[in-house]
Amino acid sequence: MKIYRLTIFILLTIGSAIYLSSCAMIDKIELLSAPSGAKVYLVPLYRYESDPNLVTDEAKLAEFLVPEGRTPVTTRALEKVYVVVFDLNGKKQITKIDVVHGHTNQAKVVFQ
Amino acid sequence: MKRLFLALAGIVSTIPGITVWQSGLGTPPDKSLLFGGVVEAFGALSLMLLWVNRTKIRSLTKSRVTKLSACLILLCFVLLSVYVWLFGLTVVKHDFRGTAYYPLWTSGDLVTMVKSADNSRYTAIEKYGIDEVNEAIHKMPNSSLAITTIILLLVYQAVFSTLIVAFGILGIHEESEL
Repeated sequence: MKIYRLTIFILLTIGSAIYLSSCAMIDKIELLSAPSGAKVYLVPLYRYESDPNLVTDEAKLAEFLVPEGRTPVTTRALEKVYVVVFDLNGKKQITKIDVVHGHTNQAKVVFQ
Repeated sequence: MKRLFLALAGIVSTIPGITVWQSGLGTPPDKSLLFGGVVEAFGALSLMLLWVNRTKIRSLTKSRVTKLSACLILLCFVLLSVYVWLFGLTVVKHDFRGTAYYPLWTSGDLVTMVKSADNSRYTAIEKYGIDEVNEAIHKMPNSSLAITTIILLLVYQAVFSTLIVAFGILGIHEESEL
């Protein structure tokens, strides 16, 4: 009975290790703007290319709003290339960010 | 000599399986256990089949055994070349973004991604990021990745099995001459 339990424990441990190692890495991103207080949308590049009107459509864009709040803000995202849309009182600035695990991931814009 | 061949057959049937299992040598990501186990099982099975048919093998002429072994080694090389090609197509390793395991054929978002990246699977990872590519792969029907793994596994084990059989035939035939 002990061996049976031990076998299940070992199998569960190995299974968990395999599952965790296969999970996608989530990385930190710093989003900054000058002046601060801009809403930020992180749109994956592929989604942006598939629908170029996405940036002008507030309803569609809402899906990609950074939930942590306005700039300066730190959020977490998967390793993708994103189009970052900063919105400060209706004025929009767009930049790109390439989120890579283990790198400093930062996007910054200056509103003129 | 027969001991040498039989020992080589034994080594070829056991060592690669364990090595593959431990190191993931030439296997798709997270598939080293499956590939290592299959190589091990098929290696042992090939040796058993040779042993069961040993009387038949011993009755073969030397030239026939030589031809048979040469054909098997040639087949092994062809299968190895096919596997290298398939592996290069499906397991795409990016320098710093990680490795993506593509199915042999693409569909849905993945087609668009690869097309817009100059038809390069590597460039698709570079352009969209590893997680975007992995998401597109997992949006494809499950069968496509499963069939890809089955095809790779068949060719992979065949590389080792042909080599084991080649050594085994030589070993068993040599035994009859002593």
